[in-house]
Amino acid sequence: MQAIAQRNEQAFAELYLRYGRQMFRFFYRMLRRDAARAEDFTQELFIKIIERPQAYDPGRPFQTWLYTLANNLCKNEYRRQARKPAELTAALEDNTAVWLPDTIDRQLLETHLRAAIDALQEPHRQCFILRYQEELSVRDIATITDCPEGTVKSRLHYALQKVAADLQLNWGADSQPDLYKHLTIKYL
Amino acid sequence: MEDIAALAAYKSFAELDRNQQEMVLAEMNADAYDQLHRVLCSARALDTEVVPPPGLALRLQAHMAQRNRPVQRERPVARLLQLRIPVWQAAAALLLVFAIGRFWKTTDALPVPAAPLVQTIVKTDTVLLEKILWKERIVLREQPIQTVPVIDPLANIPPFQTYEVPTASPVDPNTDQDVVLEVTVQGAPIGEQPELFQFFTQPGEGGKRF
Repeated sequence: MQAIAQRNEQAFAELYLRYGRQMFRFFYRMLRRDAARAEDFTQELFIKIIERPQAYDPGRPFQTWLYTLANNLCKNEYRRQARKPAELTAALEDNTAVWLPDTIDRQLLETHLRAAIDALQEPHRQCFILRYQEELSVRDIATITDCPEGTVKSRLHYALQKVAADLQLNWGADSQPDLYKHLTIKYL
Repeated sequence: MEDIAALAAYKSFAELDRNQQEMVLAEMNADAYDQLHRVLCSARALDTEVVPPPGLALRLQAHMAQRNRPVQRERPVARLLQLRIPVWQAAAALLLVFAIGRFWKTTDALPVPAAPLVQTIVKTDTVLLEKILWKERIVLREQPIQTVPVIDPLANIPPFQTYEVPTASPVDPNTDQDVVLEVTVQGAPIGEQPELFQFFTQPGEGGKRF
């Protein structure tokens, strides 16, 4: 970052090589797979870095700072759009097909999983993505979201419960050997 | 529960060691754990194949390069000459200048209102006597600033000769006879005194003074 502050183009190219894809994927997930907006947000994020490299505190981990910036961009976007998660899952509620967990293929599992993640409330979805998709630690998530670690753990716990409940609902309680039902009960 | 979820995110039940399996079995059975493991692994694998478009990197590099480019400051005069304004604005400005000029002339030609006539009536009700109490007289005195030795030109002159001025005889105002003054000169003429004659005829310091 010091090299970028000194207008070193090579340093910026290296930074983008390391974090460009990661940040694009994060925005893609947070913005519900909207590639165009994810591209815009990634561009905005890196332009912020170019314009104000001095905003970075060298005493903090760079990745955490980067995710904090990205997360704030997403939060602003959520406030702007005030989208309701229920609308996003409306299409999936019509899916009444019965699937056995052992025979379900990966693509269908991913489809239902995406729907379940999208149906989470924003704070829970944020924590779920950061923890189980971006693979950050609870402490880092607490820093990024500006919440106590206990709150992050609570949100993660609730998010897992909700995802399990949605998976069970989508696959049908009658046609599977209570795996998800058990999982849901355990997490509830 | 967070510990179990953290384990399930990376390890299946078979991959756990004995202590971890016991911890998991205290909470749920092995199948449920494996199902959780499958869900979390699937969540982690979601959308991993997405990559940013290559144009994004190019745009950011261009932005970085543009930021590094030194800013060229234009000269103020050149910038002024490059200004482009609509025709109507230029016409409006001309009209405004013309109108201001007309107004200026009009204000100059306006008649100046005459000052109000003020008449002062003075009535003297007391006889004043002027009396000069004192007069101021200015006397110029020369004060020598340097003493210069001066040759007394009268040193060799014979003693002062006195002339007797005859008193005029009373004139009868009824006669046309002119009054004749008779002056008796006593002393020697200047031609008989060479030193005095030389003093007056020889140019020198004394001559300049006189």
